[in-house]
Amino acid sequence: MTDLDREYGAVQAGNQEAFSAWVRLVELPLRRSLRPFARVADVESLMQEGLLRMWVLAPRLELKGENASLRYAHRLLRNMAISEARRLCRYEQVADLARAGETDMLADPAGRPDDRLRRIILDCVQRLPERPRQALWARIERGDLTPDRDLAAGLDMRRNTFFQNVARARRLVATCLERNGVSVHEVLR
Amino acid sequence: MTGDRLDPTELLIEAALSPFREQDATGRILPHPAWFDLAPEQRERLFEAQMESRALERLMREDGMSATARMVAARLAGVAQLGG
Repeated sequence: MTDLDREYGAVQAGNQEAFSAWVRLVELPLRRSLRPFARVADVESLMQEGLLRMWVLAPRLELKGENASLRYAHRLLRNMAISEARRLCRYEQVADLARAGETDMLADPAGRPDDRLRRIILDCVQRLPERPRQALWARIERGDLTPDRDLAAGLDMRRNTFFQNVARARRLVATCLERNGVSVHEVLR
Repeated sequence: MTGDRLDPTELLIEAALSPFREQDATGRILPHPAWFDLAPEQRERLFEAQMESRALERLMREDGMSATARMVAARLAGVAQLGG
């Protein structure tokens, strides 16, 4: 039984911690699989909605085979993306999108985060100028439940200034990572 | 981007990069308003930036949770599972 299967088994019994562990494993491969739909659907909202549905549905799902919960979630999210695309696109475009990625291999569940990589990233963040660093941490620590206008106000920034600071922080971190020999590919693994 | 100033597209992308999403009255999670103002090719840029941001968040936090994962975990409290 894989780690993924073990975690989702606990999810089906109502274990919320197991659900968080399961999400950590599946988020990146699921998000990646939605790339063909990026032009017609807000992938972030699809991911959140789809992952919540995997919690709601869990007790009723009968899943067989290795990593079956990941494959089920993949199908669920693709169907949601196609429905969203239908609301926006002409039929023939939706048909093309529905075929897109059908035969793509779904990537394996994400491995454990690399401690060495984490140390390098945190060091790069620590070296940021003060205001970009504050804006970036605000997004990371509270951006899930707090809209940007409130994050900005809490830092005594205008909203566009907040955006500029977050963007600058991300750009500087990327440059720092490159200097430390860390590629985007490594971060996205 | 000119210096540190973002152009209008970059501002929209940065706004839509936020993990925060509103819900409608039925609880459905809604697209970010800025997403609707992006052209299709700009939405692809947003997608790549979202991939990188969520991956970085996951690595920066000791609990390994991206903002998306934390958002979903926080919403569990209000979402019941379907019984067997």
